[in-house]
Amino acid sequence: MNVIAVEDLEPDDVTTVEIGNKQVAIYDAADRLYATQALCSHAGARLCDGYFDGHVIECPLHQGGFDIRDGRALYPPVTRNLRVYPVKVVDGRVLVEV
Amino acid sequence: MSTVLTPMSDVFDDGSTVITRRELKALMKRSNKPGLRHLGVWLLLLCATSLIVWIAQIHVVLLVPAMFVHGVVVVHHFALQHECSHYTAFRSRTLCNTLAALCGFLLFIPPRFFRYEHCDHHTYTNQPGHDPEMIPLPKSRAQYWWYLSAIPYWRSQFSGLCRRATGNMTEDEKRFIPEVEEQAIVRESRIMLLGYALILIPTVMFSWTAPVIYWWFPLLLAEPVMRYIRMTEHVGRPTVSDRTLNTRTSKVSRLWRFLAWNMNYHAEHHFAASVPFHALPTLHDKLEGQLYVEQNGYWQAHRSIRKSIQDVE
Repeated sequence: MNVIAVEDLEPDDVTTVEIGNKQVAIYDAADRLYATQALCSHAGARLCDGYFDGHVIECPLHQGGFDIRDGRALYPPVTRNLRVYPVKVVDGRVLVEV
Repeated sequence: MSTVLTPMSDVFDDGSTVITRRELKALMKRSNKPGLRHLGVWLLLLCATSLIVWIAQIHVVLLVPAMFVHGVVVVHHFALQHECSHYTAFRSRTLCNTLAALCGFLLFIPPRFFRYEHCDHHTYTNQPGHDPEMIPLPKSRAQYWWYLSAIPYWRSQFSGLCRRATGNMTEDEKRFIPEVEEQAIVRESRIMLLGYALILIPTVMFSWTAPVIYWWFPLLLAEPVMRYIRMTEHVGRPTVSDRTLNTRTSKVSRLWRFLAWNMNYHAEHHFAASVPFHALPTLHDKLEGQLYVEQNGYWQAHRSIRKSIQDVE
């Protein structure tokens, strides 16, 4: 699914896009782009509002952390992993496979 | 580039945006330096107050006030534990976890349990029946002073610690502690009780006074100060989910800000809990007029609280 132009992403940060009725968070990491579900698996806070550092996205509400590369829940209070989606860039557009 | 709504955009959906998303994200940036600097001065202060207690041993009349002064610093380890529980004191999560554990042991607050409980406090701030840390508005002056005595606090802390050590969780606790974490919480309580026993036994057997005069008595003497401060955070504020209303910031002097690791900027902290303590004053300036602020500090906050009590009496 062609979702957004690369230049419209928040640089070095997280951008939320809507794909149908799904919200997906796209991360502009130093090595490449990653995509996960947009809401925290703990209490449903918007991950795009959280602090992004390296490959870790922190929930803005409770500071639980996830590894965006595989969606792994890293720090309490989160215990359930995030869904991750394959993402690639073609002709300056971000494609996410949901 | 156009202004993007702040991360806490639900607060500013009415268009009264005063801080951009990028500004707020910049304030969330973690660093070890400010925390280590603060901790260094903290340890010096702790040494200084400990020295005062040591000198004051010459007479009990001097010793009690000295232990109180030292105790005021000791009880403020809660501020450090709190900041570490949010992983905002330092960039290193290992350092945050280590210090949260040390402070928790010092204060009889199990760090892992506190973290889960505190998360729920941030989800349901000041919501009766949902916020596990909620201090209800006292119904009378007598209740107000009873709470400030810290007696009900200690009773609740010790009974909770012992109960969880036996494997019993209340229904409320089960609500915020994930099932997979229950055993870890029980284990934590047991380890803490064992630790206290290992210190208590030689204290009694060999009349070891150090834990008594540098730790337990100062903690008991000064806990009312921490109760006084904790009350200012939400008590008397509307019991609604709106974070601009349910939390109070108190403007206090530099010394109190230092002791509280800037947690007197409590409304800002609840607005964006990912912002580290050292960036809260900047966030406070950015959000001027958006949050509830007591300009005259803890004292003024308590005047408001007592006025609210008077209204319900």
